[in-house]
Amino acid sequence: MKDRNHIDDLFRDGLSNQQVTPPKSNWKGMQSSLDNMRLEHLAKVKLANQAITPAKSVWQKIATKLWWEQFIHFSALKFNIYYAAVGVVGITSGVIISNQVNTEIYHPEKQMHIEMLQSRDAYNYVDLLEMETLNPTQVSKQNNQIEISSNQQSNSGEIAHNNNATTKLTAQLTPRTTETPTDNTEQSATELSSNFQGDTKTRITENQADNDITKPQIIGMPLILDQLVPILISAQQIHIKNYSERADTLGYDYQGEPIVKDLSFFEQGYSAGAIFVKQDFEFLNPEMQNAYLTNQDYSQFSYRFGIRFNYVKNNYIVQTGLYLANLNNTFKHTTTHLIIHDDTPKLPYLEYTWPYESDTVIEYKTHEYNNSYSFIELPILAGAHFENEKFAVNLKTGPIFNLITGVNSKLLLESDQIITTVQRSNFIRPGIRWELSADLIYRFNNHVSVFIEPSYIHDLTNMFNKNYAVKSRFKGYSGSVGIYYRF
Amino acid sequence: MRELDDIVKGCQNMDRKAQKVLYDRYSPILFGMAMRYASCASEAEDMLQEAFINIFKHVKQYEGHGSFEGWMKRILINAAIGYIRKHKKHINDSFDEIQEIKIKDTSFETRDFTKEELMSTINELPEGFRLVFNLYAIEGYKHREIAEMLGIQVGTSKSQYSRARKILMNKLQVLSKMPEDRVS
Repeated sequence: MKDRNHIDDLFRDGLSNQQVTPPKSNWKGMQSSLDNMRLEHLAKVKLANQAITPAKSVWQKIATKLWWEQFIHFSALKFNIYYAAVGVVGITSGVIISNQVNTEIYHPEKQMHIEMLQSRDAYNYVDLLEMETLNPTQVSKQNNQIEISSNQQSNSGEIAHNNNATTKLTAQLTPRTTETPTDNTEQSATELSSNFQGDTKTRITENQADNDITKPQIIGMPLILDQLVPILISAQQIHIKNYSERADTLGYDYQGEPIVKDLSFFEQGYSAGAIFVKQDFEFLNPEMQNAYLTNQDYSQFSYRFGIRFNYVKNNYIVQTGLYLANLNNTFKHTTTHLIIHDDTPKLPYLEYTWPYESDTVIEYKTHEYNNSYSFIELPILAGAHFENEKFAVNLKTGPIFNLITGVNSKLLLESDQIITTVQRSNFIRPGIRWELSADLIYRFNNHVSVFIEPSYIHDLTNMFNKNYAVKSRFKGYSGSVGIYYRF
Repeated sequence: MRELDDIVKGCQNMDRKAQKVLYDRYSPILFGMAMRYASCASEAEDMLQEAFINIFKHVKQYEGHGSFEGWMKRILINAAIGYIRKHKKHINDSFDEIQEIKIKDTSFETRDFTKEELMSTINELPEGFRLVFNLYAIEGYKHREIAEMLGIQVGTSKSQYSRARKILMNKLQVLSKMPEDRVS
């Protein structure tokens, strides 16, 4: 027992305070771990919670993007204040424009001349445009003679208009042409006499096939003072424009503006064309709050064909029709959820729910999808129509209401091994896309014309229902050719 | 707390004023984070924009469980990853590209590095290294989680973190040898 205590004491005394210097390599090994700890500590302490105020412009960009987000995510089932605003603005603009158009067409003085032309009366048009200098205060009435005169020019023109009562109108006109038609008919007591010199111009506009231009008839409608004076007064304020000649020009009004027939017709057409589409996919992972767009999308040949109807009135066109479209694409992406582990054949994108980590074996593989979507499309486009003899252009834009009527899809691995194939699924989903397009038309005759139509289309709605974890939109360009028959 | 609830509720109703209040309150924190993931301020601004758009888009899905700030930070991280996916090459490519960088073991002297110095050091890291380092060392994610988020192998995440650390140490060593007044 004593020996045992002795041994314990021996070791305690000998070793308890022993100091041994460790080899230097030992510290080096530790230093590496300590450095790591220091680095992480530094990064965490200094950087983890640091706050930096971003530039003010960032909020502006976010606000603008939010506005567009809300604007573009159109839902026919949900009230959208922005679309309501666009509707109000559109209707208001339409009313304003139509009012302006109406004002132009139904201007009382102008209407009078149009009626004269339409009633095929000869229309002697004395260019009053140069009467800008006329002072309406110099209108005087003596007996049955009314005289409007000014003293600015040495040359003078005189129009005497005499119907049942003799009305004489004298106006100072700036000389324009030497062509001065004068004629008197027995039936009319109207007297037109002019003394134009220089370039004073009298323009005679009439259907020249029916009326000999060398024998212009006299105005068939009496010009009474109450009508004429306002014309003269307003003529002072008119800014003269140069108008191009058109084949359908009937004549010119007192402002020098061409008077044309109302253009109004129906057209039926058939078109077919190729589309180059891009399909945007947005994956939403509800577990990770992850949303990202991917663009590894390759267009394949897609097409659209159908029947269309145009209604044209003057410079406006409304177009509708019915198209059948087939949009194809090849799409690649690396998934974090694995379709390969699910043995049930399902539609890629369409029927899968986003798997959670707990119930899914996560692998990362690049998959390729060959998708083919069939659509029925109903366009309602409106826009502007321009016509010049043989050529015409329709610029139009508007929504295309579409219905996906079927999907064919293949899911492949990179090795071209087919995992899932779905043929002619009965997946049906309505949607809206927007189209911006132009018809460039060549007219062979009054009835038949051909056209080419470049266009841009953009899906406004998601192809899939809102609870599905994948959002997808088409956008792309198309080029169509076709033929129109004009009734 | 009540106030934050009101702001969140306002954001869920797409109330622009509430969105602005939320932005004003949290944008400095999230921008500070974004700066760590980006290589320059304009990239960070883009990431911040994307994050806030997603926050406002998905705020309806926030059910009040857990910290709202944590939820927003998670969205920013996803926005940063998404940004890199969208605008840069595939993250795996970015890793492959930097496999060949030779890095020697080194140590750095203790010095009080400023935030700016640390930030610029991290910003100079290659894209993939920066992501992994941020996620592991600062956000505290596990390598398994990082692998899942970035679509890479767990081993890749570990090795990239190790490489990122070595690069950072090299840079800090150089910094620590420079007089502090010469470091901008």
